[in-house]
Amino acid sequence: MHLLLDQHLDNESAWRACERRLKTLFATCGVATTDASQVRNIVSVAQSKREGGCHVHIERLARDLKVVINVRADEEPLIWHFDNPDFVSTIEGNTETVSVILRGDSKSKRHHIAVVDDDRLYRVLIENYLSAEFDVSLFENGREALEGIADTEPDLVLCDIEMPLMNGWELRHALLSKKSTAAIPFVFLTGNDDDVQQAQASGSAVDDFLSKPIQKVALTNCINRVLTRVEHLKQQLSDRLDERITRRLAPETPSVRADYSAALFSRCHSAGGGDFLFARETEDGQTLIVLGDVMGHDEAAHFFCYAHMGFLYGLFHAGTPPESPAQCLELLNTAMLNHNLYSESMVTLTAALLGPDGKVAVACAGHPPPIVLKPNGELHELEVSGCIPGVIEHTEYIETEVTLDSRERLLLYSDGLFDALQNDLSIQEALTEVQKVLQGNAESEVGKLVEAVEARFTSADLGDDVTLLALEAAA
Amino acid sequence: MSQLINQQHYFEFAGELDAETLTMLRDLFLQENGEYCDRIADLTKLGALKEIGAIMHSLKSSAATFGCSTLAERSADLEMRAKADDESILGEMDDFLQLARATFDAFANLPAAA
Repeated sequence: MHLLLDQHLDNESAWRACERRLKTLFATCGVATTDASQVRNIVSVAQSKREGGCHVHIERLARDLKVVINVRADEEPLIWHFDNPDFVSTIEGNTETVSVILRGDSKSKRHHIAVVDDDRLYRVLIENYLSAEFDVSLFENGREALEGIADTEPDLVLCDIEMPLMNGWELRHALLSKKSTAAIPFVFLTGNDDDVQQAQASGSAVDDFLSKPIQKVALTNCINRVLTRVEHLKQQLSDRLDERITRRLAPETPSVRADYSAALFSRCHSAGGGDFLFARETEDGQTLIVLGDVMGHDEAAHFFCYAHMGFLYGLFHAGTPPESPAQCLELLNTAMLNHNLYSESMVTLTAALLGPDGKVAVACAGHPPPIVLKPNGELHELEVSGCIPGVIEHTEYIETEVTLDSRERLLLYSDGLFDALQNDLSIQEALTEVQKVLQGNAESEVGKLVEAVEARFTSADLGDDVTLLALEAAA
Repeated sequence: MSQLINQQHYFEFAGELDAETLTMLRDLFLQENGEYCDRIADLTKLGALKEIGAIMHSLKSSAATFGCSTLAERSADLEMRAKADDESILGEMDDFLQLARATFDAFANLPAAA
């Protein structure tokens, strides 16, 4: 379990930045949209209801997240209802602290369907038809749905046409007029055959039409057909992007100062990937290495890898290069807070400065702490942590320094090293498995050590990007 | 009963739902449509065709869902004519309400599942 955030939020801008990161975090971890929205609301309410803010603590272990929100003792109790069986919530001690364990699982991510119908009977019926297979949000009319859809970004909207306040046509046009919602698949469910004919003739970018009364099989078949078609289109676009750009992004073994050896293993969950590695020599001859893990494996993750790499490249070639790992992370933190470009992304980072005599300074921003592997196979996790960048202004990252003795290796890695094997193993089994490989090769030179790890992953069905950088100081 | 409700359709529909949901939906259907009938009676006195059309629209869908085919067809016809400002439907409302209440009585006496 490593720390992503442990912060008192006491001003509006801090909350807004945190809220954005939470949204990205939940989305990329496969947490059900309705649950994620609920937790964000909890933090929002807790933050806005008081002077002095609230305290948010988030830890991550593979795909599990632990979110703890502390509310002050003099606040009235807040009560939350969680109705998703995968969403386990507990109240610790009293209502001042709410601890929520979110189990995200990208393998079994359920699609989220927004259902809009003014007829309560139909809302209940459709929810019952869909809830075994999908996450469902219900709205009574177009106006209510417009707000909810913009907030939760469902995978598909199933909408009645004839409704008070804002009808289905008006909702469709309103969604089409917004960039963030225009591409959400849209299916009309109507009681009028005339509506279907009108929709077909209007060219209004509707993905399908269903007539009431609807049967369960017809409804789920239609939704799955539309979702599959959309997935295929996305995949085609992604493949094209990968062909042209993202394969060049794969991390490469960095060039480090002469008195160190480095070996790298990196495998992408899909083409391209969310891990990146940056290394540059500083003005005084040391090597600064930054390992980043952008959450997600999609086109957006590829794009943000480039954005972060570009920022670091710019620092070294056109700006004032950072002199320490902490300064590097602080500059990235400021950039992420100040540039709208980064608002939809979330990244965790480890920065390490390789100095003379095996001295290495390390700082972390929401990233798993590096491990020192001793020749006897002992694994020692460095005590270094810091919050994810882009949440808190003026964050100071604290460095830890370690001196690598002869045959000791410093391992920088993305959490995929332990997470990626989860398609085949439980997290505990995966941890043990990787530890065994590392310990069994503790005396090998770094290249062999990394090859041994790579061999373990060769046939694995990866659930995440994996990057492992092993560093060794010359004897 | 058999003329008012398409039992094959209803039992197929009921078979797709768990008992608890089915009971809830049946209760909701009877309660909502009872209220619709009361409102139709009031709106008929006012000659409010547009509102009658909107209620017929809802009634039509829910009646069809539960296999109340005759009521669904009649509601669809009245919806279309109400939306076309055909005032002659106001004179047919007593018959319609009689049909609706007979349908709901028959439905209430229908076993929940086959």
